[in-house]
Amino acid sequence: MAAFRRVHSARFTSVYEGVSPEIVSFRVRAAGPAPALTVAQADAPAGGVPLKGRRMAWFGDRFHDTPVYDRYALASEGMIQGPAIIEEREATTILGRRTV
Amino acid sequence: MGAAGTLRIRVGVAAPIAARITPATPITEARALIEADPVSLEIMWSRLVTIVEEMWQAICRTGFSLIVSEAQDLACDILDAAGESLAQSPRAMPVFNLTLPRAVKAMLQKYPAETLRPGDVLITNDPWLCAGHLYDIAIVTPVFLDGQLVALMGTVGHVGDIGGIKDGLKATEIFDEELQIPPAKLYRAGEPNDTLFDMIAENVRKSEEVLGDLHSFIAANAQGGERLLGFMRDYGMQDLRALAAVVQGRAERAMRDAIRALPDGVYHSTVSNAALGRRLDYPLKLTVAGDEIELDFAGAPEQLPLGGLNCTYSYTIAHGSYPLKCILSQQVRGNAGCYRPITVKAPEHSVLNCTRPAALALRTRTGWHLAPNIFRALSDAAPDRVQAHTGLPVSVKVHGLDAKGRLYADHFFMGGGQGASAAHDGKSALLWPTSAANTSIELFETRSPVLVVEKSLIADSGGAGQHRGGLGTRTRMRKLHDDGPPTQASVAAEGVGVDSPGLFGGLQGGAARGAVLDRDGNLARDCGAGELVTLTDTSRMIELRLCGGSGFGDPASRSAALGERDL
Repeated sequence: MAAFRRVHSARFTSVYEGVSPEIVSFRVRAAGPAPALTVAQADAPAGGVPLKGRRMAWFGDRFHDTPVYDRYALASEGMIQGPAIIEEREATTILGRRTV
Repeated sequence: MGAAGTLRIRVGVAAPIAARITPATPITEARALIEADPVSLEIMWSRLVTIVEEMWQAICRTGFSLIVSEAQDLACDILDAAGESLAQSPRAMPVFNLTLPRAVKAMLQKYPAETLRPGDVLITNDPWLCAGHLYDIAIVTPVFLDGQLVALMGTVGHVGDIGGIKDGLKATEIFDEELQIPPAKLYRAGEPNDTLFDMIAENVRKSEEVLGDLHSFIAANAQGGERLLGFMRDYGMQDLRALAAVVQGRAERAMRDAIRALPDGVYHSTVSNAALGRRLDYPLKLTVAGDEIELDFAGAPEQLPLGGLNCTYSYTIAHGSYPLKCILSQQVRGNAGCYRPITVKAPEHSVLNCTRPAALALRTRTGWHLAPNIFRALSDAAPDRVQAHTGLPVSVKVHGLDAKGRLYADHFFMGGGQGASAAHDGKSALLWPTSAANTSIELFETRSPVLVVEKSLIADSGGAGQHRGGLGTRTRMRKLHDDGPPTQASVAAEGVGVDSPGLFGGLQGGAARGAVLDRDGNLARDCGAGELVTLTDTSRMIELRLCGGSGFGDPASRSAALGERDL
C-alpha cells in the first residue's frame, strides 16, 4: 500500500484516506532465459552524406545558419551540437542551441 | 546516435523565463503584449484547455461512483480571479461550466479573495447558485502566486447520492431531496472541515463513494492549480487578468460575429412536455438584434408543487445559452466570453425560475426541452445549423440491499436518438443535451446485483425525413438473484406522450415507454410518465424505450442511396 500511495499521490496529488483498497488486477513479471535479440537497424545506412544542407532557422532570439542532417546517413556514436535539424521520413528532430 | 539507430538527445536546460507580465503591468500594455504574438497566444490558450482536460481525466481515473468515473457527469473549469470562466473541460458537462461562475461569485462574496488562504477548498451544492439540483456539488480551490489570488480551479460533479427521497416524482419541497450544502469551506488552509465531512457522510447513501468522488474533485483541482502555476512560470506571467481579457474577448467577438450573421428578428416557438401526465407548454420569444440574442420564456408554467421538475434560473440560463454556443461558435473553446451576448429571461416563480422551497431533483426533465425549442425558433433564421428534437436520455437509478445486507445505489445512463439536421442523419444512443456517456453495462453489473438483459437499438425508430433521426434504444434489466430483498428502480422514460415533430416536414421518432415486463417480455404494467418500481424476484424486468430522434426535411426527398442504407 505504501508504494501505491506514493505513485497515486505523485500522479493525482493525494490519496483519499480511510477507504479499503480494492485490487482490480495483478500483473505478473516472470524471468526466464533471454533469447539473443538484436535491435540493430535492419536497413543500416549504406553510407551517403549526412549533411544535407543548411538553412536559416529561428532559435529563441534570432535566425541561425542551421545544418540539416539526413538521419539515415548518420553514423553510430556520432555527436551533433545544436542548433541542428535531423530529417527522416516520419519525423523531423530539432536540436536546440544548448542540446547535443 | 546509438548503435541501434536511435537518436539520443541530451536536452539543454533552458534559462528561466523572466517575468513579462506582473500584477503591476498596466492591463492594456499586458493585453497588447499577448495580442502581439498570436502563435504564443494560441499555444497558451490550448495549454489552459489541456490543464482542465487533465483535471477532467484525473477525476475519470480516480472518481469512485459510476456516474462520475464512467458516465462522466462532471465538468472542470479554470476561472479568473473575478470568478469568470477562462477555460472549460471540452468534453463534459457544459451546463456545469455555465452555472459554476455564479456559485464561485457567491463564494467570493461570502469569503472575499483577501480572506482566502492557500489550502482552502470551498464547496456548495446550492441549486440556485449552481447546477440546479443537490446532487451536483461544486468544489472550488483558489490558486495563489506570491500571496495573490490569481485563479480558481472549479469542478462540478454529480455525486452518486445526496440522501433524500428515492421516488423523486413524489418530492414536494427541496427538503425531501435532502442535503443542502451552502457555500462553505471544506478545507481551511489545508485542514479538513471534519464536521462538514461527517455531516455529508451521515446523510448520503454509500458515503464512502460520495466522499471518494469529492476527494477526486479536490485532487483534480489541486493538480490543475499546480499545472496552472507551472504554466504561469513558463510564460513569465505573474497575473492572468490580461490573458483572461484576451481569450474571453476573442470568444465574445466570435459569438457576436456569428449572431450578427443571423437575420435580425423576433422568432417564436413552443414545445411541450408531460409533467406527471399533464401537458405543459413552453412558449419562447427569441430576439436576434444586432450581435445579441435574448431568450424570453415568458408564459412558462407556474412552478410545480410536485415531482422535482422545477428549474432554477441559473440552470435555465445554462440550458438556454449552451445550445446557441453549439450552433453558433462550436469552433471556439468555451469561456465566459461566449455567453456575454446572450440574455435569458424567465418569469420568477415559474417552472423555469423556481423559488424556494421548490423540489427540483429531476429538473432535467424540464430543462432538456429548452434546446429543441431554441432550435425550432431559429429554424428559419439558421436552417443549416439547427437540429430536430433529440430523444432525451434517461438515468435509471437502482436501490436496495444485497444478500449480505450491503446497500447499493447506482445510476445507469442511456441515450436516445439524435435529431437530424440539414447536413446529417442523427446519431443513435446519444446523450443530449447533456454530454454524459452511456454507462458501461459490465461495470454497472459489478456494482449492483442487477442483470441488464438487453440493450439494443430500436429498429425504424429514427424519425423519417430527408435526413432521419438517430435510433432510440431499448434497455431491459432485472434482479440478478432471487435473494429476498427487493430492488427499487426508477422507471421514468422521458418523452411519453410528448409531441416532438421534426423540422421542415421531418417526422417524429419512435415513442418512449417505461414498463414492467414478465420474464418472456410481455407487458405487465406501463409506468407512464414514471414511477419507482419494486422488483421482488427475477420473474419481472423493467424496460425503458427511449425516443428516436426527429427527422429533418420531407421524407419523400430522402436520397435513394440513403434510403437503401437504412434497409
